[in-house]
Amino acid sequence: MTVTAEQIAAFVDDELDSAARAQVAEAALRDPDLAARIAAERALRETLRAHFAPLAAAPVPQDWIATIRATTASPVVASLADARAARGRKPSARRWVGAAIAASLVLGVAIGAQLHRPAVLVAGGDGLIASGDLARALDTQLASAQADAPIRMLGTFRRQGGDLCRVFAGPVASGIACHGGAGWQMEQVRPGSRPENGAYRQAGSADGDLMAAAQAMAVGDPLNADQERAAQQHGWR
Amino acid sequence: MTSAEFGEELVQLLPRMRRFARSLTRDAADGDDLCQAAIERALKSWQQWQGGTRLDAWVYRIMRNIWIDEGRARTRRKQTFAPEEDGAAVGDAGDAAVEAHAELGNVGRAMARLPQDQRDAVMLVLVEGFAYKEAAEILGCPIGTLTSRLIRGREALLRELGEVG
Repeated sequence: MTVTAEQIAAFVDDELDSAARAQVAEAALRDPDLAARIAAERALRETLRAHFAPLAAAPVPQDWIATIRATTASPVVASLADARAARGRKPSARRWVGAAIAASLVLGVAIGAQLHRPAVLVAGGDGLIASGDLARALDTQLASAQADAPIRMLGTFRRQGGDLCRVFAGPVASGIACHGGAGWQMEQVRPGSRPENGAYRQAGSADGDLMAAAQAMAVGDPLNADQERAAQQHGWR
Repeated sequence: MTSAEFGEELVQLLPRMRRFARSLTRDAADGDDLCQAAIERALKSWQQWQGGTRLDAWVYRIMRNIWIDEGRARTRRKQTFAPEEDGAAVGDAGDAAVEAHAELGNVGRAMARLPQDQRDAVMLVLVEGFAYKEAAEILGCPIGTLTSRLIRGREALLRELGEVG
């Protein structure tokens, strides 16, 4: 039998079924050139493995490991996965997965720092939903009247499809939340800004970043004070 | 699988990821940059990974896709900024870098001289030990394409390194 280069490679790489394998082995017994070729292929594989083995044994940068552990250590992401597995749901849109990770980092800090306080974000069916203080602020606080509130409303707008969305900035998280059936769903989540000298920072670069994201999402102008008040009275619908 | 379990599996994989990144880029610093980009993307989209399938194959595919996308961007930049008459002289800067790396040794140099497609196939099957089907999935090509790249790559390596054994 004539043994092709494909068959030699597949023989050496253990990709042949037992019948084909036996045929190649038998041919190699009768053909010294073929036997030498197989031996050379095997030797090449060993040479390559030996050459590249030390690279896979070298220590990796510690900060890579730290980043992975910090990002995945979150109970929120874990509970999202568990909840989904329990319901047998497909993973939902990629859109908020990044936000979920960002939020989990935020929450990880928050949980570590203030175990006694209820979370401001919880895992919902399709993403992260505002809870506790944040849900209250989104429901009740008007951008036009919020003197010393810990969570500030930066603006309210309508997005494509008509949902009302609000941009907020707080000590634990900042972001954009849109009102839907399940409550205030996070569209964007960023780390919050910490108070300086007892007062929250004025709009910083993170806020500017959020406002830019809001402008990209918004249809028409943001709501003015009267429109915002009216929207609140209608349950943000 | 929880995110923390995923994270630990990814940590275990890092040394091999780094090795594959270096093979893709043929440069230690570029390889580490690529590796970090792949870690970032894997962390963002880990829930798309199907538990029970090989994590290494999934991460390698991510890494190679990033590298290919960046390669297209590099080519576009080159086309945009290099005067047309210089085009022929630009060549592949990678080859010069490869020749300059004496510490690569004969084997490393021979590998680095292979065209990318052949090097990827050889690395995945001969060094990493992936089955043809898995390697083809990582590279996003049919198995027949994978095996022909593999065979051409092997022949070039055997020519260069001598058919010892």
